[in-house]
Amino acid sequence: MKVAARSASVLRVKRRVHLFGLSLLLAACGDEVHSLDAGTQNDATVAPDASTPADADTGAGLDAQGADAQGADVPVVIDPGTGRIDLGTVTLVNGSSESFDFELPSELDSFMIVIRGAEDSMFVVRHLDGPTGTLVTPDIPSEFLDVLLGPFPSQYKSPNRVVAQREGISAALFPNNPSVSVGAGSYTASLGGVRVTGQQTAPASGTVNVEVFYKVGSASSGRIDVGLYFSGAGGLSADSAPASPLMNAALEKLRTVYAQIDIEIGTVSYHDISSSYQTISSLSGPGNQLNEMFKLSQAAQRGLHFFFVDRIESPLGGVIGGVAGGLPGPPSGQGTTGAGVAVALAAANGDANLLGHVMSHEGGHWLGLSHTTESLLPGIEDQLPDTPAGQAGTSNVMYPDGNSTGALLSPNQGSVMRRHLETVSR
Amino acid sequence: MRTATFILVLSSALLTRGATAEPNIETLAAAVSSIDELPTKAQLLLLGADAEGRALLELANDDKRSAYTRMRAVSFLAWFDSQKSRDGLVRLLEDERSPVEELRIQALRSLARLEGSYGRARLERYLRGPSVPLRLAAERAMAATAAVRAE
Repeated sequence: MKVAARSASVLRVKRRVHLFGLSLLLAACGDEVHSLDAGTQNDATVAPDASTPADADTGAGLDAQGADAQGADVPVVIDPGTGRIDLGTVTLVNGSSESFDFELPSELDSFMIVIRGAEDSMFVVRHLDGPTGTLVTPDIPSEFLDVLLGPFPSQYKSPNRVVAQREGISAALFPNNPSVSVGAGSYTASLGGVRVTGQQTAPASGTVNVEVFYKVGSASSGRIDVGLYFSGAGGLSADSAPASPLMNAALEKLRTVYAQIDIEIGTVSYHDISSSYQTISSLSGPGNQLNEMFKLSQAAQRGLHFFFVDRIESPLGGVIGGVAGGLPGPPSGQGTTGAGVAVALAAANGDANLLGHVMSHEGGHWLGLSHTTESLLPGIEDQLPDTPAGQAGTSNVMYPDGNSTGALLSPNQGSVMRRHLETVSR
Repeated sequence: MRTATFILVLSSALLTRGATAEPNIETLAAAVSSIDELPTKAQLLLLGADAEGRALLELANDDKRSAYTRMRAVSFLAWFDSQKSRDGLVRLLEDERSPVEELRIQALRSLARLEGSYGRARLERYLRGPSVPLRLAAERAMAATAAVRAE
């Protein structure tokens, strides 16, 4: 199958009502099992400090409504410097698609490919060639250790690492390290997919929808809104959390950590979700609890969504302190299985510094960062030359240690996080 | 058998990379302390755990370690079935003075996994106990045990 993408040569700047976002919200609330109880829904919003410009973007999102109205493949720009191209439907047969093309505009800074498909499958950009060369390849020879790199090891080891993280939706950010670059012109891509059945995977077949989000120009600073979701874990709710010393101290840590790479935390909103999510006990497979919880993210609000639970348990045994809905998470993906980050309050055990650390760490994943080094996979590190290697990385936020409260982010890590489409350029 | 094969493959791969650390309690503690990585049993064995779960129990009982490391160690004991680990988990579960309730919750969960339907009486006792989080944990464990039986 060939998907021929067309591009408009002129970028148009528009601001639109969030009709698409609203429809996603309604879809999420239509789920009888996991919808919010009308009596418990409780949302509150706290605006950023008074120094924030009055016209700062608090909601003009990456709006798919515009693209649908104008037909597929035509770039739609909502915020200055960003745009979206709907590439429509791509078909996977026995785990992979045929190649398709798309065009990106001049002054391109970065772009993200978002793949949406069946919620029993994980997807990845299988290969990607552009004007500056090969970014993703399926042809890197296999090694023993590859079994531990997930279902797409060659893509993981590609010049621009891509990872399939959650079922149903997947995103990839280009470039995500300084050894690769992107530019205006024609790109050729194909997709891969696996269907998840229990602990096994099999090649996926079926259709997916593909979008490309891009940024033009270069932004040295950014701003991201934050949504906080409370299941009642730790006794916290949308009402009580704004006055919680624990939550405020953790948020302050998040602000401080992200400020060093010039990302400001913008509007903070507070939401209640069902208490059935206090313990997350299924992490993968169709209808798993983590995915269902992420789908409760408020579709009208963009940014980074944190879901506070008591604990996150693997059904096979073991617990984790937090988990991200994507590496990176999907832009404009509110209401989807990849829309947020889950943080376990029991793991923090009342320690605000540790809670803020886990928020910063999982938020870093969602915005596109890998671990500086994998503690379980010696020799596997991120692709950024300015992050410390191995055990020396404990000072870095992305070192995967639940005891180190390292607070540093490197300039390269900052570049990656600012390129994510949910980080609004300032 | 699958675990043994996996360890063999993993060991070979790590040796090929020349990146193996000498397994000891500290390398195990580092792996156990990861924020968001779920090791396999094979990885834990490679990084310093033993088949009886003694090293994990040592981490779980070390009150100089963080609550996070201790609760993760307790949660991984669900994969190490020995009398030693069962006894250790019972002691952690029944320690009503534990300052970290999550240790008791994870001990109950790991025990339930190791004991299966033989642990039903214990779970029923905690279902009637005074601690709400432990009651809820017992409910979840009871449901998980029933699900495994159904399979």
